[in-house]
Amino acid sequence: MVKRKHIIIILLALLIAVVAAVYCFQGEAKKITKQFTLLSELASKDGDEGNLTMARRAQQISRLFAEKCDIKANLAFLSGTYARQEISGLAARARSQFSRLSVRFYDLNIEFPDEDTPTVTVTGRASGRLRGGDAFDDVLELECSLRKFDDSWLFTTIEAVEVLEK
Amino acid sequence: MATHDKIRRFLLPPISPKTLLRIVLVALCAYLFFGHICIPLRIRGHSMEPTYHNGGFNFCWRPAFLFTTPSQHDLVLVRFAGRKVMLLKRVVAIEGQRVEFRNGKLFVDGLNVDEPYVHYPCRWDLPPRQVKKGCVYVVGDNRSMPMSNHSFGQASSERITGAPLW
Repeated sequence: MVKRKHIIIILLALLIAVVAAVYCFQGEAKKITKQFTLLSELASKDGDEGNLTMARRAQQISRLFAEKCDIKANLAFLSGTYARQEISGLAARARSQFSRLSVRFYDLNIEFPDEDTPTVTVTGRASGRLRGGDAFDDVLELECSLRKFDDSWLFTTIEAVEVLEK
Repeated sequence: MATHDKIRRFLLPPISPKTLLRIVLVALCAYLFFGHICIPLRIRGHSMEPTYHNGGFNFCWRPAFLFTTPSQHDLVLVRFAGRKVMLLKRVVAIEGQRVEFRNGKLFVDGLNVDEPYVHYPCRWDLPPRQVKKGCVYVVGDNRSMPMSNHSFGQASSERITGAPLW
């Protein structure tokens, strides 16, 4: 009788632990999704911006990244390890090329190989108009790694997945 | 029955539990079939002209390669990003084969391949390369544009989602 009681208590405790872990990870997954939403909002622009707004946006974008972030892309000049300040400059230069820019992330797939470093596979879509007037619409699959710093998930790696290798 | 009662019954028929169950089952079957087995597609781009036209409509038939593997000249849909973005291309070589283009002509393992589906002139020159294990080499049918403007190359067989229905 006592043994059965112990087994039930242990099972209940395990169940509570599992539910708490699932809830906790879901909570963390939501925080990560929020970071992508924020990045999408900050990167997008609808019309010309003043220099101050542009600088402020670039600064806000850089705060979503860790002190050091690896970017791996098909374009050799873009790939490398960037400090936060460099990300700010990169974001400002990139956004200045467009008169209109819409950046969206969807089909997020978040995995936690370990608690501290989730990996996210996401579809990134950038569309809009270049300063020269040409319209563009590009889609990429991205693999991102994040790490938690002071209760905020920050990007540490962003890699463009190469689907077709010539 | 008065006329207005007839009109009301026609426009707002009484829903019995059986009818409701039928509606739910049909909706569920439609979701499963069109969401996971036969996925509707809208074709964007000109890389498969004249076989498929920009703006065209088709379905991705997912069971196409359930029991077989894609072979040369098969039309395939390659998952490009997330669940919604696919590339519609044609398989020109399978794993282990050597692919090259000489003055627009396709050579596989040193032999010129007859491609009746290529209607537009092509001037591509691509040195020979081996298709890796677990990959297939895919190219569009419209090779009239410069090589750098055409998305083609070897893709992992795991990314092949299905085949166009027609």
